[in-house]
Formats: sequence, C-alpha cells, structure tokens
Amino acid sequence: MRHGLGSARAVGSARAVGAIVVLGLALFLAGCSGAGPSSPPAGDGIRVVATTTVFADIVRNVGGSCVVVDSIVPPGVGPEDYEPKPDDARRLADAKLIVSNGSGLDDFLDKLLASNATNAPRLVLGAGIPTIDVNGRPNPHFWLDPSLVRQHYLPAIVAQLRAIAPACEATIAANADAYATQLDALDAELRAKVATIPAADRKLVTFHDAFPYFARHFGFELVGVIVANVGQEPTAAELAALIDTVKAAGVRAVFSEAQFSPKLAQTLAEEAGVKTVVTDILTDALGPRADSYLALMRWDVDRVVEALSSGQ
Amino acid sequence: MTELTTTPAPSAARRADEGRPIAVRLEGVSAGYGDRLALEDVSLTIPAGSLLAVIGPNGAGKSTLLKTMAGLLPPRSGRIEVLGAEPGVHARRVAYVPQAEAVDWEFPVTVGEVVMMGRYTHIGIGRGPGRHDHHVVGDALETVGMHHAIDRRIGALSGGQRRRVFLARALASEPDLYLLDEPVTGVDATTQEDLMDVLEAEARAGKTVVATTHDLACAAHRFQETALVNRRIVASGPARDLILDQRLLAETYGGHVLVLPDLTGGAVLIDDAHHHDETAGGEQHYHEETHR
Amino acid sequence: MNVAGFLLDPMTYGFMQRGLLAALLVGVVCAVMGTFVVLKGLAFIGDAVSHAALPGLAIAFILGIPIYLGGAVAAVGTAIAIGAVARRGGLRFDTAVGVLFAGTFALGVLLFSTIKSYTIDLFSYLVGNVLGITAADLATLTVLGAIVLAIVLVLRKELLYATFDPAGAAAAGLPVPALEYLLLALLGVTIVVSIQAVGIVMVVAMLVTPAATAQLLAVRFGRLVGVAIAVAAASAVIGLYLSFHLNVASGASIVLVETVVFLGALVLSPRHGLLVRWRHRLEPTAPGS
Repeated sequence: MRHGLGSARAVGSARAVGAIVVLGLALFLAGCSGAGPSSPPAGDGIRVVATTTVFADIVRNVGGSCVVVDSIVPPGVGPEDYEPKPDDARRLADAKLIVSNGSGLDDFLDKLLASNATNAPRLVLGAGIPTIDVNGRPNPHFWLDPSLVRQHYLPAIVAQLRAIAPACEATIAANADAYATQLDALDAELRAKVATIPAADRKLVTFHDAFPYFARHFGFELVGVIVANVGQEPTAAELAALIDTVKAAGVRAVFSEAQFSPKLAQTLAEEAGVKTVVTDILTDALGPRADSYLALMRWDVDRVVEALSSGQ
Repeated sequence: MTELTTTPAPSAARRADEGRPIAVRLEGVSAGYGDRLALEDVSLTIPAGSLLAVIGPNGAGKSTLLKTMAGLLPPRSGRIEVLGAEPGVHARRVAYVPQAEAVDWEFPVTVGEVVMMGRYTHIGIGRGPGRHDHHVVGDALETVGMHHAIDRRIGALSGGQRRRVFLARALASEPDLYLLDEPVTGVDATTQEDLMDVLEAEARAGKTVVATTHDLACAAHRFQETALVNRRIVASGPARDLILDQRLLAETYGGHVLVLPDLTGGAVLIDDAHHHDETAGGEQHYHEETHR
Repeated sequence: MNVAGFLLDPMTYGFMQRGLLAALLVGVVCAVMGTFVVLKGLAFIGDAVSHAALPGLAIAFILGIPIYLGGAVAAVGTAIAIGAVARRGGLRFDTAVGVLFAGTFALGVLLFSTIKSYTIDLFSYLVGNVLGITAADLATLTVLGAIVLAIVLVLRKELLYATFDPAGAAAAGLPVPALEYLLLALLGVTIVVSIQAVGIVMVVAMLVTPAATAQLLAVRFGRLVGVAIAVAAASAVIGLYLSFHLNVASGASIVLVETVVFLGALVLSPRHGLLVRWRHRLEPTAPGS
C-alpha cells in the first residue's frame, strides 16, 4: 500500500539513501582533492611519454634534465589489458617522443594512436631483440633480463634521444655511460645473489608468463605458469596438471605478482605442498618500495632469493 | 436488532439493552488520496456482532472507509478506533478482503496454501502449520464450497472462485472483525446465499462483519444494519428500514430512484444519470411509480 | 576410464573437493534466495549488486579499511536501496535494479580513476573462481550461508505471504516493508559472499535459472524451493565434473548445465511444456487442460 502504511518509514529510508549518496560524493571529492590529473611538471625538457613506469624510469636516467618523462599505465594495472582514458590521448598529443615495448605488451597504444595520430617518433624498445616464444607467441618481458636492457634498450634510447634533442648530446652520452655502469654492477650483484640459492632449488612457478628472459639469464628453470593468457583463468584440468607438475618438480615457492589476486597462487601452493607464496613480485610497473628499474630488479631478486634459499 | 446512530450526531444513541463492546468507532474522519477527499467528516459506531452493509454509488468512498478501518489508509482528520485501539494495532484480529486482489496470479501457490496464509498470524514465527490449522483451512474451504480445489494453483481459478478462496482465507484467520469489499459481487446466487449464511453465523457468534455491496436487495434481505455513504454518512441504521426509504436512497445515490412495488420480491431502480435541472443546492428529487 | 575413475579422479585434488562443496553451498543458498528473486522480478539483481560493490571497494581502499568489508557494505546497501527506490518511487523492481546498477558501477569507476597511488586490481579481489576456494573461504561460505538459510527458514511463512500478497499481508499485521528490506539485505549478503567464492557469472545464473526451472515443474511454493535446490545441486556436481574431464571452464560449465536443464523443463513440463502444448494442438478433440 503505497499511499498508506509505512509512509513515515518510506521517508526514513529515502533519507538513508540520500545520506549514502552524499557520503559517497564527499569521499569521492576527498579522494580526488589534491591529486589532479597527472601531468609532467613544467620544465624545459623534451616531452617524452612511455607506456609504463619502468620504461619511463629508464628513459629518465638516460635523458636526465633534457627530458620530461611521463607514463600512461598507472602502477598496479597490467599493460596487456589496459584500457586507455581520454587523458592519455591528451598526453600523447603533447609528446615529442613515444616509447613503448612492443611484442604484444602494450598493444593498447596502437589503438590510441590510430584515433589520435601524432607526428612524434615512436621508439619500440623490443624491436630487434631475439625473442623467446611461448605458446607460439613472442614473449615481451625483455626488461627483466638486465643484460637485454644494457645491450638493446639503452643504445636504442640513446640513439633516439640524440635524434630529437641533438643539443643534449653530451648530457645524454654522459648519462648513458653512467647508467651502463650501474646496469653492469646490478647484473653482477644479482648474479651473486642468485648463486646463493642451491642449484636444485632454482625453480620458478609464476602467476603469469613474465619470466622467460629472467629465467634464462639468471639460470632458473621455469616449472609452470598459472595463467597462460592474461585474463584467461586455468580450467580445472589445467590446474590439476599444473599441481602435478609442481609437486613432481619439488619447488620451494610459488610467485605471484602484486597486481593479481593471490587466490589461485595460494590454492596451487596448498595443493602442491609448497609452503611459500610470494605475492608482491613486480614486473610490469614500479611499486611503492621499488621506485626505479634498478630497485625493481633488486626487489624481485631479493624476494626470489629469500623464498628459495632459506629453509622455510 | 440493534439501532445505530444516524449521522451527523457523533455520539451514539444506543438502546438500553446494548452492552456490547464497540468494534469500530469513527469520529469526524476525513480520508482520501492525493488531493482528493473520498470521505468527509464521517462518524459511525459499529458494535460487535453487527452485520453491516455499506452502500453507496461508485466513488462514494466505500472502499476507502474499509481501508481506513483496516489501517491501510491514515485519515486526514478525525479519530478511528478499531477493536479498542488505533487501526492496525489489532491487525491480527481483523480480516480485510479487498475488492480486487492485486496479487501475482502466476505465483506458484495452491488454494490450500493461500487459505493457510490466513492462519499465519496464529502460527508462531518459525513454526509450520499444525493439524488444527489444516482443519481450520479445510473447514473454511468447505464453507465457501472450494474444498475440491484445495490443491489447484490459484491462477487456474475463475474470478468468482478466487474471491471465494480469499474469503476462505479471511474465515481461516478467525478474526473478530471482517472488512469485506464487495464479497458477494460477481458470484452466483447460490453461492451468494451460502456466503451470507456464513457471515450471518459469524455475526451471531459475536464477530463483526462490515461489507460493501452494490446489491441492494441482498443488503436489505440479509444484512442487519446498513450505512449509506456518499462521501459522508447519509444515514445508518437497520438495513431494511433504510433501504426501503426512497428519500434516503435518492440522497445517497444522487439521482432518480424508481421504486417498483414490493421490495420483498421486486427491485429498486436507480437512475444515476445527471439531470439538467438539478439545482445548485443539490436538491434531490425522485419519482415514484405505482403498479403499472 | 571406468566409472570409478570418472568420479574419483577429480576428487583426489583438494581444490576440486572444495570447489564442489563451494558450488553446492552457493547453489543451494542461491536457489532458495533465487525463488524470491524470480518471483519478485529481481532477475538482474545479482549482476547489479556485484558491480555495486565496486565503489565500496574503492572507498574502503581510500579509507584504509578492509576492502571486503567495503564491498560487502556497498553491496548490501545497494540491495536495500533498490527496495527503497522501488517503494518510494513507485517503480517496478527491475527498473530500480537497472538504475542503481548503472549508477553505482559508474560511481565505482569514477572513484577508481581518482586513486593515484599504487593499486592492485581491486575488483578482481571480489570476483572469485570456483577453482580457487581455500579452506577459509569454505568456512566463511558455510557460516554465512547457514545464517542466511536459517533466517529464511524461520521467516518462511512471513516472507511468502509478504511476497505473494503484500497488501493482504500488511492488512493482516505483517511488517511488509521490513520483511522486504530484510530479504534484500539477505540477498546482498548472499551475492557478495557467493561472488567472492565463484564469480559473477555463476552467481547471476544460480539466482535465476534453477528457480525458473522449478517454476515450470512445481505448483506449490514449498516444492518449488525443493526443486530449485535439487536442480542447483545436480548442476553444480555435473557441471564441475564435466569441466574437469572435458578441460573447459568450470563456472561456465555449471551455468550451461543449469540452462540445459531449464530448456528440458521448458519442453517437457506437464503443464507449461512446449511438448504438451504441441500435442494439444494436434488433438483438438482430446479433453483440454
């Protein structure tokens, strides 16, 4: 009975709904106060836009004060299934150089550029790198092998930056040298750390297929991957098969990444009798405790070493 | 036979032998929907054990009157007392059967299940129907002549059958007050008689029955008291006396009343059409015709 | 492979055992709540409430409180708001569901886009997978499912009356609006807990299809609920087994089994069935229904 019984109660519940809406709006406004749309600080460097924070960091290290670098995919979101926003198109339009990885990592960029054509040159970092193919497709996660960054990414960035900012040639060269030295030191440091893991325990089970180059470079065996194609979860039979494989291989830990839900990794670990599940590996983006590429690599290797070498 | 007050005097003038409790009391009640008042300054007193027919033209506020008593429509002004309290307080002792059930007829319930709903207020929370409840349901369905359909889906029934089922639900709830909107309309004569027998029996047992009806003959023959309503109470009192009163009928129906002789076997014809010569003061006029 | 192997092989894996139990639990609770969903015209509420959890997750993240809590509060709040909008605005339930679905989800997307700091894919935290059920998940599911079922069991008569004939129930003294809001709140809890376990697609289907199937096969309300439960349980078992042996997605398999059962009921139902109607058309002289 709409016009009779409970009219007072109806008013009460309408007020409650109203209060919820107002609260929601208030929180929304609080959340976005202060955090305006991220735009590069006004400086006199050349505007460069990279697809992820990782590449942005590397370019920044080479370009120094000659460049102002911004990235598109926010931390915590996988670039493989990223949906671009209008803001991204705006940033691309302002850029003098666009840096991407290619090989299937950041295909969203093609979509974005198709409808927002720009004259800016595009640097594809993965071009020319001999790929490891997984399931018939080239795997794009080159940067997790520091030697590939040293030998391919770095020279490509140097060449490209020289082309768009010839006046900065000297700075770029100097930065590149310094960075190369850092990369070499990093590589040596990480290899030494990995060496502390008993050979028999250098086995990796990961959430998604980000580690073929990493594994090859540092000498790990890739036992299995939970999600073969990003966004597609395993079937019961596939999960069962993976469990059997992991059990047979006797791995010490299962690794998942910060941007994924840890449930499947935990299930797998429980079933296969693996005691350790590491859920905060960083691959596609920098993180709160790893604000540069070098820090990211150190972070990941530390986590891996920690999980695989101690008798947990 | 008890006498009811005639409006507009709000205080009831009751006969000396009436020590009966008052089932329903309305004082100066106005009620309506939106900006339209369906009832205006209604006062009525209904003692327990009454068998009262509420009569009036369409849109007179008959249904509204029942709804205010049922606690489904709060009045704009005035006081209502049902079974000694505010309407709705004793809802469990009141059975309200509206004119047209606004229910989902595709709903998967059987006749038996619907009638059992009338027992829910007697069955406690968390408990299911017991043997006694099943007995009461069976009896109620027998009374309305629908026991054969006890396991049939409610949607498979005809309009008249559905009405009987909802009446059985009211019976099964064993109320002290029945508020029935057009309970015998659209029902065949035999069933009508049977239903009136039931209601009469209830009234004799001390229950109060308030029913609206269009059927003046039924009201005059089978009901004890009547209230004539046309936005206000035109009159209330013994059914036969009031319904035979052509002037009251004319006032209630606001039109021409043709009374054929022998109301005991004849009929009253009411011409509801508007007449061009009706005065502003609402003067009623009626025709009277003798034997043709 | 022999029958024993067919039945037992998948059960050697703990995740399959838990998945089966979870699917059964979710199936049963959703079948019971689903009868009300179907009869009240709330068919898309599963989808709506699941997506409505998004702003709750975002707000919880911003405030730093456990995100499941935020999601649950938002989901239950939205379910109740659907009731309030329908009641207050005089709209049909499906209209209220549609409006709130779109609005709350959009609010969630908006809030998400304001979060600049490092975030995980919050929504994926809420959307479970029947293969990823942990023992803790199972415990939560059992406790909450039992609570929901217990409440519905205790109030079954009252809920039935209020759903079938709100005006009559109100006149009889039942607190109809309160019962409706309670039903919606229980629905919100059911949905939130279920999608954490098995994901959105399964929950939406489980709230509608078994109850719809039961409507074709049963007349009495009590039997309808029973049939819905049976269909849900059987579909969960058959679907999960099929997905294992055929190496296909598990949630989808369960939903497809339910749908096939529904289609079968549609054809074969003794009262509503297409088969029966077709036969009647062929025999015009036979006594009709």
